[in-house]
Amino acid sequence: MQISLIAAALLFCIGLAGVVMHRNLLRILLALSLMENATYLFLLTVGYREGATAPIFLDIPVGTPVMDPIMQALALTSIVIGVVTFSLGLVLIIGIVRHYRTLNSHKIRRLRG
Amino acid sequence: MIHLPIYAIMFPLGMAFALPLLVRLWTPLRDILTALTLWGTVALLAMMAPQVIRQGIPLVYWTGGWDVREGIPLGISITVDAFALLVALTITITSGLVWIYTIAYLRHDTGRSRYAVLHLLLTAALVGFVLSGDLFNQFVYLEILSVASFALTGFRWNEPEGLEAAFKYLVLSSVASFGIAVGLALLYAETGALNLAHIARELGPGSAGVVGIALLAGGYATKAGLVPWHTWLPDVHTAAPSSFSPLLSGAKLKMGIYALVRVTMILVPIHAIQGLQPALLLVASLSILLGGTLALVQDDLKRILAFSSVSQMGYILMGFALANGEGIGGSTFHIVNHAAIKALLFLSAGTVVHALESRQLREMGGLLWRMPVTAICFLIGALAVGGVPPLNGFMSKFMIEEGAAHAHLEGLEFLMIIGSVLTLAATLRAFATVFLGEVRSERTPETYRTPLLMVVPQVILAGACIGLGIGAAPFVEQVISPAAASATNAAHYREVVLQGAVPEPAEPLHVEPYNQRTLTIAAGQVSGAIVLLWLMARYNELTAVSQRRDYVGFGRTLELISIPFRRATLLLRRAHSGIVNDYVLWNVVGTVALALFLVWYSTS
Repeated sequence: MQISLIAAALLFCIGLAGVVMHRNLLRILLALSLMENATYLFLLTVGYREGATAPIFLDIPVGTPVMDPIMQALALTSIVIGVVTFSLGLVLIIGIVRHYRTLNSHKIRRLRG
Repeated sequence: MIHLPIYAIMFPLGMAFALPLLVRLWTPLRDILTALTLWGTVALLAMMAPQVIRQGIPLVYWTGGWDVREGIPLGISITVDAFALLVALTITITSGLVWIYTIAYLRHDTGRSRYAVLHLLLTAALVGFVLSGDLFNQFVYLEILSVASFALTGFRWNEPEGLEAAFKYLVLSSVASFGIAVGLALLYAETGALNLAHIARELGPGSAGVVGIALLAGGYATKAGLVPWHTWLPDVHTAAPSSFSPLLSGAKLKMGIYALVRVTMILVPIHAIQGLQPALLLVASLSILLGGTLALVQDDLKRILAFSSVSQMGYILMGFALANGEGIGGSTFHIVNHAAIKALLFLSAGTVVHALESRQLREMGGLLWRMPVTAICFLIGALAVGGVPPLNGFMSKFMIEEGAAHAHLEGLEFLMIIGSVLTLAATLRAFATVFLGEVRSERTPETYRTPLLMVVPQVILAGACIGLGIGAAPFVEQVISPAAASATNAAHYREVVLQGAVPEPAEPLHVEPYNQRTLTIAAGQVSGAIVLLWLMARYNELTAVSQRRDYVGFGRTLELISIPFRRATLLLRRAHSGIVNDYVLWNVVGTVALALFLVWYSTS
């Protein structure tokens, strides 16, 4: 549990560093998706119970410890949303490249000031 | 009747998905059907108003009938209290009016069915977000409305700036959403609850909860466009299609501030975490000053309005953060007023931009007699946002300033007056440049002919600005008072949701806007703005004589005084570099600073 929390925090920071430091739009988007994966890991860790089983109450004896299904549902929903955002980001990058002829975020700044 | 809350969300959401199929049958159905859906949603929400707003009895709807058992909510609640309903009504009415404009505005574009779907999706998600009483449910609606917003911003595939803005928006908004997701998971880990009222009951003192609150607040502050999380706002408002900018400012930002208020008023009462109030007051002050200053120096018509939105969101937060009757009432009122004013200004600006096919101020001028209705509407909006009596902006701003005076924070009151001067100067400068003076780029007369459907929403909104100003006293007493009470009373909120209690009716707020003090302030603001504009316009002439070193006079003094201001403005404009990496850094630094400040303050 500790390890996976640390892993989530590390992944989040690596992704964040990528978003802040990379100039390539595609890399920014990929780093963004890394941050997103870190949040899934965090959500799942919050719902994790040591030595527990899947929350399917069909053939397990009463009183068996189970995982928290709410956090798993949250992670699933987030993944769906993440896919939509990611693909929309790719579409926008295609549009930007067609006009700006570059992927460099330091050159895509007509709006400023 | 009992199922109204879910209908109000499902109707626009369902229509968003049914529309593409129905349009296949007969294309002209699209515009009318969308308008009917939006106004139908307004009607559904309005049907709840007599009970929720007039009698002050909130409606709590448990989806699937999974309600509270032994004090623990099992399902997802839709909690319609007066504050939520007021914000939802503001959003849907704005959305309905903007759609009427959109029909005419997009008449030469392709892909209008897709636009209609996105517009409906955005409205449905906004209503869902505002009515929902469950953190994760809110998160899902938040993502739906974010995705719809990105797509609407980059809707025109042939406009590079729109795509650029949409990408920045996507990155910044996603980073904010991750913060919100982590924040709500932290709160869940701390309390085992996702329902707002349930969390509020279970949340004890502890660092994890404080960090969770800070992450949520930072994320929602991004959606509301508050400094230093505002960086996406000017770009997106400027480059989005002119039919979307008013919706952003009039509806989307309102949802952000609504969420922020729910987090800092209901989830934790503002005084429960030490340091929360000063932090929010600081954010509000920064927003007012930065937004006002940068609005004054822009060369782009829509960017002026965008920065003025930053400053107005600061006012709204200021009133809530003051946490006294006048401040909260004023801010609740200002949510409605700012939606009307900013939607109006963006619609008028959009009409001008649409006619001239340019947003640059230097290409505009002398449009008063060519577009008289738009000019008058813009002027009403400009005066209202600057707080000129008897328009609505004056009413709510004076209430917020009253709140500051009540809390013995005269410094903040003065800051808000300065902010009003800056905003008024910025919008009047825009009006003067666009509509007065000589024509700078001559077009054929047909260009200036505005379609009726683009004029009607402007006139309605201008009427609303005047009406809400003149009828402020009864409106505040009957509509704003219950909303303001339900926005801030955490104990009532918990009892209503978890125990099904009926709260006692709130004490109505009374406003007496016209006394010597307020009128003096208003007069001071107007003259201040005019002097400021005159100095800006004549700056070069006035300082030209000061070339001789030994010369001491008005021009020289003016030059010396203005140097620090000019330097600061230049620095601020450079800081808005337009680079998405920098903006993410602003965002993260803001949230981390907020979290550290709250943890440090609450443990020391």
